[in-house]
Amino acid sequence: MQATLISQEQLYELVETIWGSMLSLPVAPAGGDFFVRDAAGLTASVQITGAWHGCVLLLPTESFARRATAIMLDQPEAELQQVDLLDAVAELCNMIGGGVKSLVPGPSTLSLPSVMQGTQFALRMPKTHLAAQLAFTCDSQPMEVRVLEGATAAH
Amino acid sequence: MKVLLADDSATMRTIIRRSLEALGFTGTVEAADGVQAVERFKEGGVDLVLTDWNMPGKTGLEAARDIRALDKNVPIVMITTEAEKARVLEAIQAGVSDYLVKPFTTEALQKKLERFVQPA
Repeated sequence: MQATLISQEQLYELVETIWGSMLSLPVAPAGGDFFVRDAAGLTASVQITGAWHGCVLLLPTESFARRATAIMLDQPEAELQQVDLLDAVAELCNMIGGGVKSLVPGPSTLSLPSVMQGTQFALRMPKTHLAAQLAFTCDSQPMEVRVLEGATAAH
Repeated sequence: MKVLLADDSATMRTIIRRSLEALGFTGTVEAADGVQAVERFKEGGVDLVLTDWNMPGKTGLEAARDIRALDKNVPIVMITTEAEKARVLEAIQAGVSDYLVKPFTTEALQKKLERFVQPA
C-alpha cells in the first residue's frame, strides 16, 4: 500500500469550499453510508499528470446535478438541457481536480474534465489505487468524490 | 467597456458574465476556446480579457501570448483552477496581468478588475 497524500478531511474542505462558493449549499459527511448510483449514473472525471498522476472522480445523482446546474445558471430546473447538467458537473469536478492538484507534488497538469453517463461501463486506470474517498450529502442527495492515485517517482 | 470572456464551460461563462453584469460590465463577448478568443480579440475594441487556462485546441495561456503580442497594454486576467505558484509565474511570463482562482466570489473578481478598469 502506498502512502496517501490526500486525506479525507482535505477532500471534505475542498468540497465544502467549492459547494459553498458555487452553490451556496452546505454539505455534510455521509458517515459510513455507501453511495448508491442512481439510474442516470453520472461520473465526472479529471486527470492529473506530471510529478503526481491520478484521477479525480465526482459521482453525483442526477437530481443533485439538476439542482446544482439550476443554481449555477440561475435557471428553473425544468428549462435545463442535459448538456447543461453535464457541463456544470464537469466544472464542479474540474474545481475539485484543481484543488487536489494543489495538494499533491508538482509540477503537473490538469486535463479537461469529462463526464460519463450510465452505469454499464468499467473505468480502468492502470497502476492506480483508490487514494481517498469522500461520501457526502448535499440538499439531501448523496454523492461521492474519489481520488485514484498512480504510482509515480514521487513515492 | 468591452470584455472578452473565454472559457470552454458554458456554465462558467454564464456565471462570470452574471458577475460582470452585477459589477456594471455589460458589453461581454464570449469565446469557447483559445482560438475563438484570439479571433474575437482581433475584431477589435476589447478593453479587458478574462480567460480560463485549460481549454481545448488553444489554451488560455497560448491565447494570452497571442493577444499580448497583438496588444501590449490590454489587461488579461486568468480565471482558472490552476493555483500553484509555478503556474501563476508561467502565466505572468506569458503576459497575463493578474490571476483569479476558481471558485471565486463576485467581490474577488471586482478586486481583481478594479486594478485595471472601471465599468463604463
